[in-house]
Amino acid sequence: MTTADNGTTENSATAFFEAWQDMIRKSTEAWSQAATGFGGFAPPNPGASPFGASSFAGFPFGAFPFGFPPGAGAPGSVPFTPSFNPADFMQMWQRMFETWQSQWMNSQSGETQPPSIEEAQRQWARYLETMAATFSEVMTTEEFSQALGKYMEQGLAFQERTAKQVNPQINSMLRAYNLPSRSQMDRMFARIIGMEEKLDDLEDEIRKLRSELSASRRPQSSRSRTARSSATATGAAAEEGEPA
Amino acid sequence: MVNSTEYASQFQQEAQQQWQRFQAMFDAFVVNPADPPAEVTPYEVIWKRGNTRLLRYGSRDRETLGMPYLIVPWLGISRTYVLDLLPGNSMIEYLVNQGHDVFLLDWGVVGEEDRELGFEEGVYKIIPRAIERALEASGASEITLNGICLGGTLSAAYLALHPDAPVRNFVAVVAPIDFEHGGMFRTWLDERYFPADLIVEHYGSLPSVLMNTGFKMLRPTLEAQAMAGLWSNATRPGYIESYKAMSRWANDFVAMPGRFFRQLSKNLYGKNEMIRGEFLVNGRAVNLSRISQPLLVAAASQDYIVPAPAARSLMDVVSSEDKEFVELPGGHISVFSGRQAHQTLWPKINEWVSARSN
Repeated sequence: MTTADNGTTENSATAFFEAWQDMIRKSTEAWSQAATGFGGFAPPNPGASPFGASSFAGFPFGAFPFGFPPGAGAPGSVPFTPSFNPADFMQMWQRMFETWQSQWMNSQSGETQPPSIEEAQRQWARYLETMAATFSEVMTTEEFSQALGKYMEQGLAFQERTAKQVNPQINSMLRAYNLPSRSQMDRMFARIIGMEEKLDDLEDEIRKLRSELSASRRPQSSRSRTARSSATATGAAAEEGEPA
Repeated sequence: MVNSTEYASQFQQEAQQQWQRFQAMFDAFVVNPADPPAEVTPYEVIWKRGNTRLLRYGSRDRETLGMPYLIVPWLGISRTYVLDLLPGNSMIEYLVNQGHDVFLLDWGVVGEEDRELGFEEGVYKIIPRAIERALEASGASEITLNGICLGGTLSAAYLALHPDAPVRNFVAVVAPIDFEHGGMFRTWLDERYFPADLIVEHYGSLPSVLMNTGFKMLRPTLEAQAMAGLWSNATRPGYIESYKAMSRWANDFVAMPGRFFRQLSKNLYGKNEMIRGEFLVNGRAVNLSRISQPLLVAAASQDYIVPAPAARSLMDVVSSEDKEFVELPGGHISVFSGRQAHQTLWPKINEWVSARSN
């Protein structure tokens, strides 16, 4: 492990961080420009173009090769909100890196290079802490919440459109093989739960009647509050008991 | 300035340490990759409905303190076996060993069929029935109710809507009540932006994948920090086993029922209706001032999911005369399942409940 004075360490760390920050900034700018060139995340309605081939904007994360049938609309189209500006993300990340840089530099002030692997590990832990603090600061902003909401809306819209096109085919295939569809299974489960509910009600009634009956037969008896063995009736009722 | 002899000695020492760590990691993840078994305390199923089960812990013939201790954990999100994770690192095992008659309302793995499961069903059907069955099984007339995380919110709503419930004591652990202090989730679930309705319409629930993403986003560096901690502590006895158990649990997310998620995101995180007494369940307002049981509220000082003020607010709205608030070291999960819980939360609960169980 080489030793260096504080100035050297800080300067090299700063230079490295700035170079890295610059690289991220440039790639984010390039990415933003590319995304803006394609019309942002929310694509135009490619209904007029059966394969959506005029641009690759049909899919929020990049190219969607299969397109949509005429009139089907596209993810991000009505009824969902219009596109958001990718530059918002750019600004958000820029802010994050700036915050992170300042926090990291503050935490590094007055320190030398790590004298041992142990110290290097501790520095790494502090580095992660500053990163966590920065993420936390950025992600508690309203801008992040807004961007997250729109991102999810558009992802869901895409899935919804896809499901609408694919589900009828899946359902007809399941019918051909005489298999139940997901919605049919859901209905069946709902009915089973309803039946379980009714059975619970009946069981409650039976318990109530049984306890009234035993109370009328043995008015002097009382239940122990401490011994678990007094609860054998309930234990017997636990037909579905499954010891771990 | 370090001389060359000292430097060589340090280097040798560190190389040896790193080699020992590597050996421990290789042994734990390559030679013996299996996870340690979960759910260490024996239990029996007392009642079952759909995916929900009521579990009773400990052997049938043992002597107990008498009053059942019913744990109502969070609904959806993750599995409840974190409460019974490893021998010696299990809240349930600890309470059983202290003589408590422990019951757990395990919501199970939420499925498509649970999409309509919300506060209504939880508060008016499932929790009352679980209490009834626990009382019958134990032969007691009252219970101690322990709500953890959103289970505490559900339990508080239950007690507010059933003031004559057979509940002697109420223990709320990291239970969010004032969602104004709801941390990052409060920002993300802003009803102006977050498409809660669309998610529920599309999936029927909040799927486990989204749940996983949401919780990982809360602390994006957590995995890296955990890995760094693992390497540093790899040679500590029991550390890797504990890491493996916790890591498995932390990646074992389950969906949240659609109805419950809609209420949580819109009514609670969105409008903060619970603390204001405006939250309606089956048309009835949840008025927390109707809770009069002795109350213990526990919060965690490093909890970024339910920050301490969100949990503490229950103290200000109930009408209980006997109430206590404790803020303990740890995070949202580690406060009740971490290594330090053995010295902090568990003894506190044991002492507080035991004093109020006669």
